[in-house]
Amino acid sequence: MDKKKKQKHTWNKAKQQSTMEKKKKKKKKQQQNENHKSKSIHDTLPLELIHRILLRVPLKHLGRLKCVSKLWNTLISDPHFAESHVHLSAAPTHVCLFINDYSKACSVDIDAVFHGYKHGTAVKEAIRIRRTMSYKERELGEKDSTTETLNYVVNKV
Amino acid sequence: MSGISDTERMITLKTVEGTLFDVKSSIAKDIKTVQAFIDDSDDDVTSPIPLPNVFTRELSRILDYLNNHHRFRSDIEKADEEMARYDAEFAKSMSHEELKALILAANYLNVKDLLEFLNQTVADVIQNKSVEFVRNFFGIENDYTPEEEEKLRNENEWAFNGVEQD
Repeated sequence: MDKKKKQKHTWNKAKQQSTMEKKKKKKKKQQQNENHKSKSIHDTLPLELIHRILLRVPLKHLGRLKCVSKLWNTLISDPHFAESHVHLSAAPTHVCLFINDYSKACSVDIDAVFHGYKHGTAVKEAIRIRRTMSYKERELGEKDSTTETLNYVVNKV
Repeated sequence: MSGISDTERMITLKTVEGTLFDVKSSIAKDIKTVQAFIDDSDDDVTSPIPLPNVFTRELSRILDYLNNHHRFRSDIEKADEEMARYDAEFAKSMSHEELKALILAANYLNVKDLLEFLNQTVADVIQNKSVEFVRNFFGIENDYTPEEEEKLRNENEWAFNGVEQD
């Protein structure tokens, strides 16, 4: 009988302990949650950084990202954003490249003709052409209207 | 170019947790916030420089990145190739949360090259993902009404081709 009582007693004690542990765990979990909460607020990037990241997203994906939130839509639709994007973006759209001979190259961005927005994309392409061309140019010592146009475009940037 | 000598001056940085990091002054130059602190203080900086916004995990990563990049730069022939390989591994080794935390730290410390690289990494991550993924990634709440969103999605339908699975 005594033995049984003792057993019961220890069992109760064990139960007590387990509930205490549970309480502790609960408290710990609560703390963790709080930590997590403060961390996630901290982890939201400031607008300036989001702006800088979006500048690196190719143009063709930006239309979709306007749907993220009103703020993002405003940010992406801003003419200043478009202007800065043009300087950084590397993915041109609808660019036709004509090369006649070594000294003549012409890049036309069809959109650029109609939208000031995409103009710089064409400009960017022109720089690339100019880089690959420049040594040929020197070699030939030629300068025709096309290279002059390219020069103009490059200087403008 | 600043030579890397054994007698190079060391600077001690202290994170939020109180961890101390000894950094070569040539490395510290790339951490503009630290360099500004050094420039502003008279003569020698002997006591640890406290970084109240930077955690140990992030500082350790940033120093790793800078140390490796310095090492690559000392060997010009292999620099580009090795750097590209290292950068790719570096970006891959982080979870999205870690990536964001590192961007905040790099921004605070003003480590320009690293910040640009990290921004590009995030841009690469989000560019082919769904709108929902991007909201989740940045912790942004959708503040459009269903009608507004529907309209905008229709207007930008062309931009929804080729979206990857989240």
